[in-house]
Amino acid sequence: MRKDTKEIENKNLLRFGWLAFFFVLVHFILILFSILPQQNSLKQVSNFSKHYVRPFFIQRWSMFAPCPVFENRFKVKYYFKDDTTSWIDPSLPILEKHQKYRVTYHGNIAVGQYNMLYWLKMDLDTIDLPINKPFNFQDYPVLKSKRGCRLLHNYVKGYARHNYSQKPLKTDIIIDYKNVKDSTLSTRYLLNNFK
Amino acid sequence: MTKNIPYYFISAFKHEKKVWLFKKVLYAFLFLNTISMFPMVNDVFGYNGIAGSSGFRWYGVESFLNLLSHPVNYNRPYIAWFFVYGQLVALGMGWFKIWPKLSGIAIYFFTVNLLSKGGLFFTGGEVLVSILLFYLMFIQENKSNSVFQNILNNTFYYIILIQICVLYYFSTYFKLFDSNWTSGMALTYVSEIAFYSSDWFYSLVHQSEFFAKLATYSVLIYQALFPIVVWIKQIKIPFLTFGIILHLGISFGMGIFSFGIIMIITYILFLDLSHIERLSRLFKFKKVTNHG
Repeated sequence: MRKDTKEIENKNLLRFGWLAFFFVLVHFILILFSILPQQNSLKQVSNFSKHYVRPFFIQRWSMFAPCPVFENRFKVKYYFKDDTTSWIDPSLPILEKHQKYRVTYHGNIAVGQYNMLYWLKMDLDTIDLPINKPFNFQDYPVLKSKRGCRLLHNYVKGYARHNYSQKPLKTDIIIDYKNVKDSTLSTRYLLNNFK
Repeated sequence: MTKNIPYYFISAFKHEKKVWLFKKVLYAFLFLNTISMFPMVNDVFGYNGIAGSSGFRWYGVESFLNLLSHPVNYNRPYIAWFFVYGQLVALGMGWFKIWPKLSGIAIYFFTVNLLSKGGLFFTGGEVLVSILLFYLMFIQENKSNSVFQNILNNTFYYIILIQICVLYYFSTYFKLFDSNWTSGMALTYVSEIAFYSSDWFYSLVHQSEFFAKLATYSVLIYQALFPIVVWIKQIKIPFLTFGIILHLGISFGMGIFSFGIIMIITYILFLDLSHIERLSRLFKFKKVTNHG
């Protein structure tokens, strides 16, 4: 009688073992489908996997792929109610410190600035904008809702609040995308009246 | 062979020391990393900082991981500070094993909220941390006497190991579609970008084209082989040692500090018990149990 109970317990335990194994299997199959480019995977599974991975397992791992070839830099000029600043390069002090101190927060700020300009480039590349010539940002309302522009907007506003304790009326921005592989592909955008 | 599969999950959890050491080192790193962010808390985690708000909507559980983007945070930087101190306290509790289940949940909650708020300023390392902290909530390494907990411990331990292999696999996979990587020139270009470079990294890869290509292909080969070689006992230590050098290069040469260090910390999970004991003695950590 006791032996039978033990056998049943062991059988149940084995079932749990198999269950755990299939959970691991299905978990990673869904993660794989969520990472793989859509054209390489079954669309329905891919859609389901995207729901499964949100919000706990979202991942992509395309770090440095494609390899970054642009040195992204920007300068801002603030117009406040009673004052106008000269051109400011927010990256300069950050990069100086980042080169000296690797373990401080400067690295995060450097990564943040680079990422922001990367996403902005994704937006700017989708629209036929004047290059190397100033343009009024307000003439392109479609840009305002784009991710990169929203990030730039947050950054510019936050930077003004942090350094000048006031909100700018408008901002002029110069963005340089210097291509380190092929300099002919370098671009400069001059955004006026950014707000 | 197939018959043995369930036994991997139901047999007594043998990796408690390893998981315990991994948690301690990871928590200590996260603690120091957050302290290093103190001067930028308002800017990166605050609603009115340079990170701004990524937008907020009530969307099930996901909303609770993005609370710092809620408009209630407007002009209230102390909420971000509450999350920062909350994370530090939770990490301290986790380190000292005070209410481990609760502290595990608290660490996940505070950390993920902070990381999703400042997402722009973080790297793949922090993405991995978010995922690992989620898995770690299910591992209670000192409670393997409960059958259910034992299965959970084994299951999530294997999930963490596979997760790290998945990271390396896809990291190679996506690079293979980029001609800059396949031509061996990727690190040369990266070294010319001030944000991801340093004087010594620049001069190292600019010594010769051969050296630059060797470095680029070494990265690709290491990442591609990781999911296979890391299981081969005889060669995994020299292999992981190469990985540590590579990730220290990423941390200090390329300046992506947290990513490099987080990856090195995950290597603890691939070590054998004898290595763990040696490491524990080195850092004078107390033994948790007599077996495992």
